[in-house]
Amino acid sequence: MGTALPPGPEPPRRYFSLFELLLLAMLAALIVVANFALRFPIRMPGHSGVVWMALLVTAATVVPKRGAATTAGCISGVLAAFVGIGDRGALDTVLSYAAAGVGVDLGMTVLGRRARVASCVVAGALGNLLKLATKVMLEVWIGIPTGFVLLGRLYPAATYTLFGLAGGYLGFLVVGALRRAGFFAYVAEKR
Amino acid sequence: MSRPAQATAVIAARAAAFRYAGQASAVGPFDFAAAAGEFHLISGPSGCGKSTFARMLCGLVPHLYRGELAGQVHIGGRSSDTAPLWWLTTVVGFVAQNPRAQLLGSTVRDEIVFGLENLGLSRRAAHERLDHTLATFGLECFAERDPRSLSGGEQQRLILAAVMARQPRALVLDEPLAMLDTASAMQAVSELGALRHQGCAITAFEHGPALLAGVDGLQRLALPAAEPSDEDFPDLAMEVPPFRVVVNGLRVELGGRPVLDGIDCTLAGGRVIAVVGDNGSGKTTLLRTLVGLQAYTGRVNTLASDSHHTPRLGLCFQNPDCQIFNASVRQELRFGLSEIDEDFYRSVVRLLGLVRYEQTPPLLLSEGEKKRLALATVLLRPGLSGICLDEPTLGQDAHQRRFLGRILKHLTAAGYLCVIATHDVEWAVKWSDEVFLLQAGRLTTCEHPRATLSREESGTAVRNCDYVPKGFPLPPGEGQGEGIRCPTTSPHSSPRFPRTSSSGE
Amino acid sequence: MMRPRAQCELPRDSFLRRADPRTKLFLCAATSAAVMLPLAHLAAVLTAYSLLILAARIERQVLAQLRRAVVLLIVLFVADWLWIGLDFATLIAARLILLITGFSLFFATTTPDELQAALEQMRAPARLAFAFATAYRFLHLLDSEWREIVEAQQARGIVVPALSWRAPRQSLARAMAIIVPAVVLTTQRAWSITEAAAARGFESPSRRSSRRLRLSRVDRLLLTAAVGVAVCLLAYR
Repeated sequence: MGTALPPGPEPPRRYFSLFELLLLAMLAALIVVANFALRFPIRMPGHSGVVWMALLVTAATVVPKRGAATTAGCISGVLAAFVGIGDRGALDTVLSYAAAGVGVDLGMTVLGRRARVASCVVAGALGNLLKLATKVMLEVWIGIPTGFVLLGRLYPAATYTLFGLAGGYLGFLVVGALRRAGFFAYVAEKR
Repeated sequence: MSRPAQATAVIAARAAAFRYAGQASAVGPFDFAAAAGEFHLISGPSGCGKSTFARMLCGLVPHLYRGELAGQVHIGGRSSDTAPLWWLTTVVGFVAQNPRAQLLGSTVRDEIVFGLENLGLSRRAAHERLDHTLATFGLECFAERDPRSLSGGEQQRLILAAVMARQPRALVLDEPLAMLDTASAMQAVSELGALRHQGCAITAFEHGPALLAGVDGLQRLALPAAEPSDEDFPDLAMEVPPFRVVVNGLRVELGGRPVLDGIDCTLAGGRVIAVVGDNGSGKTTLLRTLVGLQAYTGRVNTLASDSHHTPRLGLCFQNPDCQIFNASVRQELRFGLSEIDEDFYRSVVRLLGLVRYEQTPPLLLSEGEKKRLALATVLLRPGLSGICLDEPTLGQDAHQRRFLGRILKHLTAAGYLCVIATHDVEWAVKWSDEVFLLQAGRLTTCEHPRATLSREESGTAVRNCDYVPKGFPLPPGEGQGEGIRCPTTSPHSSPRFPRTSSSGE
Repeated sequence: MMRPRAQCELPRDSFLRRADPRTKLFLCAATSAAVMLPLAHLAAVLTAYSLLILAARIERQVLAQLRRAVVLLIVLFVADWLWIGLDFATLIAARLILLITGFSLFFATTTPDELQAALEQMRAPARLAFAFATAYRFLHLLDSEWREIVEAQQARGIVVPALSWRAPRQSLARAMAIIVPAVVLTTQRAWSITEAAAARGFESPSRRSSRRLRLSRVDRLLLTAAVGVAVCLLAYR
């Protein structure tokens, strides 16, 4: 009995620990699940951003490292493409949700990761707007006149911002509830 | 507890203790040694440090947990805090409590291959090891199946196979039988015995050692902990008028398969009714049907003596973390309640032993305390006449199980109906007034369960189907117990449940 | 309830099921890049791609994808025709169709396990590939846990998920009653998987993936055809 492997070196320290990476991936999966499960009665452009940004903000706070939201965003985008979310095709889905993650990371990096109202709300708005911006860039890339595109996006820009702000605020509330319920003490014990 | 470390031990701990980051007190110190071919059982009540100790013995502590390790833990001759974790796992395998939570692959084959990939074996050697493992553990016919479609016992067997495929010299198991029904647990015990005879050092951590007691050459160790005293219970400031739930021809299909097939029974207020059965027999489905969460055909009628009273049942889910989200126990209990009867609230909080935890964040409670909190949140709902609990004794030590039994007796004294789904037959027989046995979607009711077990010829499918662990103490002088109200189905004659049963709940 | 598309819609007799995921990824990327071509070349690419879709028997999935964008296509086509001209409108519509359907071929015929294998062979970090595949495998479980949370909260009298703009405060509270336990359960799952993976030596330096992808005849055929089409398009610029 026993496999005789020579005792080798400790694996190199990674930026994200295995737990952090798995946690971000599982939160990305939760984003996809929540997108199906939580439905809003008003179908305005960008409404899915409320839940998506809330969970991205949560991910960025639970794993308080730069790139956390980007990682969760990328994985959620690919998962969303696999389950068929999005009406502009898989490429649009993957890129726009990845961009949302980048936006949240940007907001949290600039304003701080300490889950204050301002940083969460701004990060949420930025994330949802970057998602819209990605769609705009794809439309411009395929040759639709820029003026056309921008004109048609004035109204969505307003709703995306609104839902992004709401999502960021919901994320702030979720993080606050988790903190008060003792969640962060549970996570702090784990590497 | 002290046991001198041995030079030949695969695992040796000397004055080993671990203090989690941010905690004032440490778990330990422990002394322990496990040599090849030994079978150790380490038992202790909840909160005594069993899980931490288990993880210290396989290196997960301190590699995966933040904190300070004191003393020494040697695994395969190397200190656990300096040797890399990946190397330690080649010496010691680890199996945690919940097999479902440890599944990593898309198929049974992938599950086993996962650990083999990390050994750096050539593809040929890995394939040979895989085939040998599948054959040894009787998993060849499952090789391409999704592990999530297997029953709990089969999943536990798969996890064991996946770990043992790496051929570690020792195996540490943290409550490996907690999630299993009796038949699966006995199967798991015999598999562990076989591994031990092959030279593996087995160390199992368990609350209740009953099922492992019969293992040949077992060495038992008890972790010290202050045994909490039984508390006095206040009377509940509530009386539920008499009522009955009458079920006729109940049938439930899930995924095109009948899970409950022609159930007839009556459940009366003021009684504790235990629903026992294999994993996948439909216990949870029956509870969900009684509370109105499950579509069904047939009739479920509630009859009350007081025409102004409409009896309703509440459901306590198996995992209390499904409900917890507030900042304190008090907020959790009061969330969503527009009007609160303060007397009733205080009596429920005292009955369930939550007074001292009212200001505690719920996620910091122990599993047993969380289960009681979940029970309290359901009890506080207005207009409730009964409560259904899904596996409330899972993972609980003897004190918690006794505490729960006493709570239920107090509730029934106030007129509540308590329906408990459990595979803990011993607890069911001790604390219930009636036992419903679910088998293949059919129900057998056994009133006066303690008397029932004493009748040799009783159509107690309970005894015939091996639900009763060997050596189960029979009540004295009850050889001619009362007649039992069962069974319309013929007694099950095979001594074991089929190995290929699949979960269907 | 959520149904992952890749699991329920994979056509079993599609020859693309046997193709290497890297080949499919390359084909989709090349198709998406082709959106910048002029109309005549675009028509050729679209024709070749359509033949591929038909041969792979995934036309139903692709049409379902297009159906969701039909309003956008019509509005854009009409607006471009009115403001610029028919040729331009046709060009934009063709490009949008290619953009929308460009990656359908990959996602409709590849399982996440195959994607994991492809990522590992393309030298992506094994832990990232594992994390992604694990997340996909747990989608169903997270979905059923979500429903369990909803039922558990309903059992307490918390009405979910009646979200309404007229009562934003109550809606937020109800959303939190689901999201907070969901995040807790998800974190517990992630931790159990971390322990299980670490306990089986996941981060070993001698790790050798058992998944070996090899380019088959189908892959060589597809890649040759793709290169051939590209060469023809360049030659007839």
